[in-house]
Amino acid sequence: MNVEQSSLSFWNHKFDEVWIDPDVAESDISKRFIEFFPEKVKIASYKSQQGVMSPLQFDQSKRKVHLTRFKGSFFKKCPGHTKGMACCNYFVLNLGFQCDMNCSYCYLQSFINSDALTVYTNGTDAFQELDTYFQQNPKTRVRVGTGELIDSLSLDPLTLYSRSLIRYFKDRPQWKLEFKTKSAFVDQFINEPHIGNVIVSWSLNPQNIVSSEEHGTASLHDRLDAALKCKEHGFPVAFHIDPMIWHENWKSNYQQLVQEICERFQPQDVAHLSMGAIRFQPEQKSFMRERFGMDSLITQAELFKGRDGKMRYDAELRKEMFKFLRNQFLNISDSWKIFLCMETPETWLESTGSHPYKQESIKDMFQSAPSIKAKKFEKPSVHPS
Amino acid sequence: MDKHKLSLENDSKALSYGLRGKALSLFSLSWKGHWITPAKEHFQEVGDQPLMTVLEEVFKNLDLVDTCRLWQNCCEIGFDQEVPKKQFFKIFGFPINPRTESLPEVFIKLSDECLQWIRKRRFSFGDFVPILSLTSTEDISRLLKPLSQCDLSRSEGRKALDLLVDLKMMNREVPTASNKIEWMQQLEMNRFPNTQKRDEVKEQLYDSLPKYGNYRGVRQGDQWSHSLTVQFSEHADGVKKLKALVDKMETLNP
Repeated sequence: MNVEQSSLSFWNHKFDEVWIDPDVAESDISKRFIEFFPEKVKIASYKSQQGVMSPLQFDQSKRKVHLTRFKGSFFKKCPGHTKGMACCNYFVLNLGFQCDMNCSYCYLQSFINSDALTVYTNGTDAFQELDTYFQQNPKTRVRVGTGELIDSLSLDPLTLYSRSLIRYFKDRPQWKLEFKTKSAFVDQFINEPHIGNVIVSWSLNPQNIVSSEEHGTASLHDRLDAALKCKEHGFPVAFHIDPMIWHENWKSNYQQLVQEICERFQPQDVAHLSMGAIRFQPEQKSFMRERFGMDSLITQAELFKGRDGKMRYDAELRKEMFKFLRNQFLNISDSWKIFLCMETPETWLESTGSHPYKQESIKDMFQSAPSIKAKKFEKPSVHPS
Repeated sequence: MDKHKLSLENDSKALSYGLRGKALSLFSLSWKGHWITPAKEHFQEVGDQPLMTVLEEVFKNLDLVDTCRLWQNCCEIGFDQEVPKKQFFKIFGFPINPRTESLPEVFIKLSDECLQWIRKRRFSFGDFVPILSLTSTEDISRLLKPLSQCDLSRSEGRKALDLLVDLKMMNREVPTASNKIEWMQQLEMNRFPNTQKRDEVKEQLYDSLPKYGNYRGVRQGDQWSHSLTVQFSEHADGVKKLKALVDKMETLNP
């Protein structure tokens, strides 16, 4: 048993059903789920309902796990690369989709169209895709993240994907892997030998935002403690202060957050810091309003359609927020590597003083990388709704 | 399709739209002795065909409102057992999904005025998703009243509906409908007060600028900018006015 007995009730509380397709029942991941959820596992072909979901169905999809084989492409360019936005050339490796946590602003609410939290068991196929790209582009420095459609680590004590990923990247020193999480689960991989190219990153917000908007996630304190543990074991860490959320005392709360980070970490410990402000597809608004009412700072927010069609704060306000947060870090040290996520070149210029391509500390991240050749007969299981 | 006249004395479960006081474009139809549409002077019996085939052939071009009414009638005589809701609405070109499946029932309870507006502006179910956040049908009827009163276009209606639902759920003041443009502006002011205040501060600049210019703030989505118009009679006049304006702006914001 890889999951500690002490956390049994935590996991059992999370899921109502675990469906395992018969053809993957013998996989390592399936065996662990069978061992851990003996009374909830059903080994049978699960026909997931596809299409637009109601808020209730979306809630239920978080409580139903489906282990299956993925026949599409695991490895993709980050979809944040949209018209008019400065792109940091991030690649994503999707080993599942949907999340067991429940952030009010989560973009999966306008994306997920399947009624189960899906975990792919054929990770070896994902590695083959990485191999192909690696062979075609041996000198390209690529950053790969696993936290786009599913949290990188919140289910990792069950899947243990982190271990095989760390082992894979150990042989590819010019590539970087990033786990992105709002959980505090690091013990399962912390003793895994690595070469320092696996970045463990946390999406952070002040504790009042964690409490009001990031339901079911680890507290700020627990996330920072987990990050410290990673640092002590030689893993580079990174922080994404994203999405920043405007609220009455936003300045003092974000200032406090910066202090908490800087008390524990030096710039050299942190691979990068990213900032972003709340953004989502317009269609998502009603969905969030139905799920969280108007008590949420997200549904209350004053948002307008941005150049990319997403709902965003007023551009001036965003610049003010980014500038404020960036200055908080730079007042402590000018060595922090800070970048903006999914923002316009204008916002970059006015918030940071220059375009990302011209900033010494981060310009490498913004060099374009070769695209990925699509698999033939790809059958995606999710698409933007 | 065979069509036979039946008498009104037939023991059908006559369903009358007239009882609900709603004008309809549907003509009278009876299926296996059950009235599907209002029985008036002329009606047709088409009971030897599958119901869905009948409906599809007879009502080729129903609008959203009439489709909802037809569905309601079918439900009242138990035909919803024979025709799944999803299939029914898909056939008439108004697909529903788990998100919008409760809207037909909401629609048929709306006032005639609202329904006329919905019909006129050719709304779809998706346009009314914001009202799913509300719980009371009474709220919905009252909420939609100013939209139809102002006869908003479809895009205006969508925007206003979203703002109205927000204001309602935030317990903020919902302005009374009068002039359409002013009402929409008031809706936005009540929904975005902080942004409004920030924009007003930026507009204070105009008090210090030469009076011959016409200045206003313009919001386009998340971007706000100044717009100015300067009229001049001849080139020299234009140069003079623009130079004075630039000089003034430089002193204000060097």
